[in-house]
Amino acid sequence: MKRRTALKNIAIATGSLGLMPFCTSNPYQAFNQLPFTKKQFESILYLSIIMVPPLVESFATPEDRTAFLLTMIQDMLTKEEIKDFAEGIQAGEKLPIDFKNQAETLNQVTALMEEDSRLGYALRIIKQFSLRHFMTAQAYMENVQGYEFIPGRFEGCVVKN
Amino acid sequence: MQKPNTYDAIVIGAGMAGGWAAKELTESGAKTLLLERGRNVEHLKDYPTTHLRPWEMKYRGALTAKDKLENPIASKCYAFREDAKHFFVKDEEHPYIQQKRFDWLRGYQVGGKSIMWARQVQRWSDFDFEGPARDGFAVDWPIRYKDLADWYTKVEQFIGVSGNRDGLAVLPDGDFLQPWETNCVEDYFSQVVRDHYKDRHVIYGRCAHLTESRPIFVQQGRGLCMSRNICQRGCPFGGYFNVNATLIPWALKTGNLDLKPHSVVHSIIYDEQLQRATGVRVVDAQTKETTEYFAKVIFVAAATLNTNLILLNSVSDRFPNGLGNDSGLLGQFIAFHNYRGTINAVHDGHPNQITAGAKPTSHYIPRFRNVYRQETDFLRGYAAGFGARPIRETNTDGIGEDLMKQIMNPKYTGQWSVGSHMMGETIPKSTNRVWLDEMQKDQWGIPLLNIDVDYDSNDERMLQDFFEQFTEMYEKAGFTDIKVNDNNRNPGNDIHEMGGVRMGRDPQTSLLNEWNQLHRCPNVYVTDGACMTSTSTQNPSLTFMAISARAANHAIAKLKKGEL
Repeated sequence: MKRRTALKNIAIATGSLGLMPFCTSNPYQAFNQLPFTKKQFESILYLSIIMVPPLVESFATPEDRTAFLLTMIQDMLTKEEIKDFAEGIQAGEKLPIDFKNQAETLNQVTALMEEDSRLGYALRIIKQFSLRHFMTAQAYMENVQGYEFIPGRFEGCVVKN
Repeated sequence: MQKPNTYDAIVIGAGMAGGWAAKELTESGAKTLLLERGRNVEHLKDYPTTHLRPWEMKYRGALTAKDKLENPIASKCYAFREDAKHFFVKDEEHPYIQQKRFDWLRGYQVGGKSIMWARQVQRWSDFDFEGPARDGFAVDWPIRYKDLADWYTKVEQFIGVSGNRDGLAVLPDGDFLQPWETNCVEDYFSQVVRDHYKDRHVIYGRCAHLTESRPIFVQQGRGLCMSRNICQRGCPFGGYFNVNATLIPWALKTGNLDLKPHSVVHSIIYDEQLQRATGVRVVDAQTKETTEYFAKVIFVAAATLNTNLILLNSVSDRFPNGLGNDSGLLGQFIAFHNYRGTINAVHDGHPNQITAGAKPTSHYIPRFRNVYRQETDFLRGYAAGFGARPIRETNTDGIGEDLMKQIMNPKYTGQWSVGSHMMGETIPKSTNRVWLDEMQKDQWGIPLLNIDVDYDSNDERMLQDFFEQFTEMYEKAGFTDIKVNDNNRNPGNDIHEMGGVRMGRDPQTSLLNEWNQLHRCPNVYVTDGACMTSTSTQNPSLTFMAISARAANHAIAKLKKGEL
């Protein structure tokens, strides 16, 4: 992971959102086929980070959240789904969400996710892909889920600890 | 003077059946050409994802929207995922015509589908070979279990099969390597079924994995299965059987094998004067150039439906409707396995036990319906799988800190998830058939295949019986939350299509004799799924391999006597 991205993610995860604008390059350039403005890209990333904090120091991943999330949106969703997703993000822009108040934002997002709307859909997608990113981090899979790449054994009746 | 491109034998198709033919032929000293329409896949070298851990895959194993859009059929296969999709035929590149919905899943490469197969290897019994004659639904098989028993053993000893000797008449034992450990719920359900039913058995599913070493596996350069359960990527240990790790290098070592990938067989050449097949026409998959190869004997093992296609496309003055097709039956009596029924439930009986590690097989319930007598309103029967695993839940509700606390604490619930799926025998019918299209051709100038295959009322009744019988068995085990499901999967999705060039005694009603030779062109052998007279309920690959090895040795004997 690039140092700058790591710093940015940590900053965001700790609520230091004010650090985000310090980025001098455009991390969204590779995803210019997605119909989002820079502000919308940042909103998507912000929502992802507050929904599923990446905890990058303990749960490092081969790519940062931005790259993973946008790759998934770009490649896993159909054109129709991307359109619905984009409409959801646009709808979100019109809502009076207070991005400076993370706790309040979480409450609002929780309620909006339940809605049968484009915005609700977009939020659920962000959470789904963000979770997939976090839960496939090596440290999470190995240390929390007990994943073994080469088990080399099977024990059929182990007493639960 | 011998023509160029001349061999003792030509084998079409480098999958399991073709691989076995090539191994046996080359070991006997026969100069053999092995033709494969797809690319070469070398063991170890060509398994690009085999060492990737989940977090190292761009999509974490999932398919993209583009993958699904471009492969509406292949993407229905459980193994067509990010890690193994490169071993499957892409739908767009290899079209066919579905008269009815049929999922034709293919692996065009050296090794064929053996790279990503399910590795279950159960023998047939005489209840299977005698079935068509007893129940009158097809022609009689010209062979019985005794004809194949030694060949099953030979194949098992070479590929390595882990299993128990269960002593069941419906599922003969073989030469097995030690089984993996069973889990407590598999043992429990097995005991419940034993207690309540005389003729029903829940046994370990015999699988083509190495659980112990033998000199033959060392000679092959294979190691033990490490229970990674990602076999579809190709195994760096050679822990499961695929053709690439075993038969191909074995045959190459003899110095008698010429392996030609990218060779699309157009047709078999029939010499009207000699009244025999003399070779094959091959279109280079990449350059589209046509080349002819010649041999005394030809093995067709291109996988069931492509074998049908090649024979149908092999027309001559003598055989205007396809090679050996005097009876007009070529392409008919296609059958498959009915995998539509599943059942799932919850078991509360072993709350303090879990499993550790992994194993590459689950349990198996051999056919128990209509075995000794006709007892239902449908013909034949079904086998089934049985699996059980402790339920471990990760609560992903909510967002933010609450969510993170939850997902850091996955918990075993104390319950087990249990489930079974049916593997039903379908009845071969003349209406389930394939034929060549008169107008449309593929990019190699070969007619597209029409496929007209469907379920029938026998399959529907069998499905209902599976639901009833397994619900009863699950209830006797005290399982709760029992749910049955008809997944409505299309024929073909089982990847067990068989028939079209069936074996039999009478040339009027079958295409092949008891040695898999075309009745009307005996220097052509068909040894893959196309030869099957009926389907039984067992996964068929082991039987294809045994039949192929047997037929190859018949051809070898004939070649030595100068009779081919």
